[in-house]
Amino acid sequence: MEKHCLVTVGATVGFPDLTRAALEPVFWGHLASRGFTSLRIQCGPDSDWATSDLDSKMSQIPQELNVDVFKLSKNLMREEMTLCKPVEGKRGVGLIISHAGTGTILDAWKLAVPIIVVPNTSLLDDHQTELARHLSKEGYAIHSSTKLDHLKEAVDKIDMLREENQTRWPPHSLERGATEQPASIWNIEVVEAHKEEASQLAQG
Amino acid sequence: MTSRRGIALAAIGLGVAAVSIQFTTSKHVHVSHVLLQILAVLMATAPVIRHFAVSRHRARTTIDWKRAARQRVGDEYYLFVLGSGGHTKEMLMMMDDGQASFAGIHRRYMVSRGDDMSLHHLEEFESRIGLEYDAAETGTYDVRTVTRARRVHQPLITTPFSALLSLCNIIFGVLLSSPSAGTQRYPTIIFSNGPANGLFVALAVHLLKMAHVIPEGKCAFVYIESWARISTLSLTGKLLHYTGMADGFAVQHQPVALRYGVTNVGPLVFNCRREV
Repeated sequence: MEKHCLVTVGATVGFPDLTRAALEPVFWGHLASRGFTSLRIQCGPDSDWATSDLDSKMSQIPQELNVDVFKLSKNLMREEMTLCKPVEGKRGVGLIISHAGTGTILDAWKLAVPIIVVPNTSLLDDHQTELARHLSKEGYAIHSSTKLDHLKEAVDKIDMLREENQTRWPPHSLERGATEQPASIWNIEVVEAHKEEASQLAQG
Repeated sequence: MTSRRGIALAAIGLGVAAVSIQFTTSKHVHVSHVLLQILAVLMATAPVIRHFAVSRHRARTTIDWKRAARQRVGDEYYLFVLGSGGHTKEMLMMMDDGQASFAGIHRRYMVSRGDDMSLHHLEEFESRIGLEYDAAETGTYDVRTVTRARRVHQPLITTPFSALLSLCNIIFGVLLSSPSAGTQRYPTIIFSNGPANGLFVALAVHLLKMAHVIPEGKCAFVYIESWARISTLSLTGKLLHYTGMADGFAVQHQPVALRYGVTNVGPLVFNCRREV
């Protein structure tokens, strides 16, 4: 049975620490031991050195695992992330390991694929860590760092996340009350104060 | 409405005349000169007064975040300000909430020139609506492209010019250029969720209301802060919050709502239908 893992660092700035961790033979071994058959790494601007690094380590790839590096995908969600969705009898539930980019996180949520979020702490004002923390608190994602031990631990936690999510998803986040109907942008109404007063006068 | 616009134009004309006369006759000081000066001062203060009038009207306008589907009385025309990939994705997720019908709704998308990603995403969304809804329930849509206020790596010195060009684009190409016949002349509501061009749209609406071009009951500007902002507002959000240029202002998380004393509408992006 196929089981895919996608690592994605985003299109623009790259995330060398995450790419490097995903290219560690120890990490490959861990994925293989958890039943994964494929690891695809989208590494943007890091793709040149990542490709040559992978070439030099070919012999260390576990037999049951395929490892591939690519720069960008025209439509990451349609072309790559969908591979992580289960198909009865053919494909198991996969995994996405991602930088804390909003787009990827929301796409993973849409497809209901488990996601490990690794904030790029070297970015300006480090806003990604806050988002990652919030997501793990809400039960949408697992928060990890680029340290191999943390990543391995996070991979082991995904089944737990999946179970939790099956009871919580698709219902909305904890922030809402259970009975409260969510607001929708299509139902917004603009109320002008003087009109309201006028209609009250008319009624009275 | 036409007469008010006429008055506004006449006032601007008089102002220009007053100033030019002052320049040509400055050697001879007499009563008419003083009168003209008073007039010039009045001309200068008129926009300020108008600014406060428009602001006061906005302060009295509230946005009702209805929790239940509401009955639409007539046609509606919504303008969606799209930004770079992430913002666009969030906007479309808030829109794609599986509501029963888009009948009578015109959706206009404002996209920055060269933002093919947003264009691609919105076309995917609209084609899905076309496929999933009956022909009578899809409503209509169009797309308008505007110049960027500042491209990445553009030298700072040329920014005022491109920003002005962008503002003109927004005014004439988006706000004043009505969709095809049968729809409303001006947007009922304008939605923005974080990209900087949203600020320009808010500013353009404010100026057009000051000039009596857009009626005050139209173009309600509704800002929904990006879902990614957990505890602080984005720069666009801060500027809109502190200038009070939005008719409706909401965030999607409790910490940021408490910090700035604004409405928390919850994570609207998760209204989106999922592909499970």
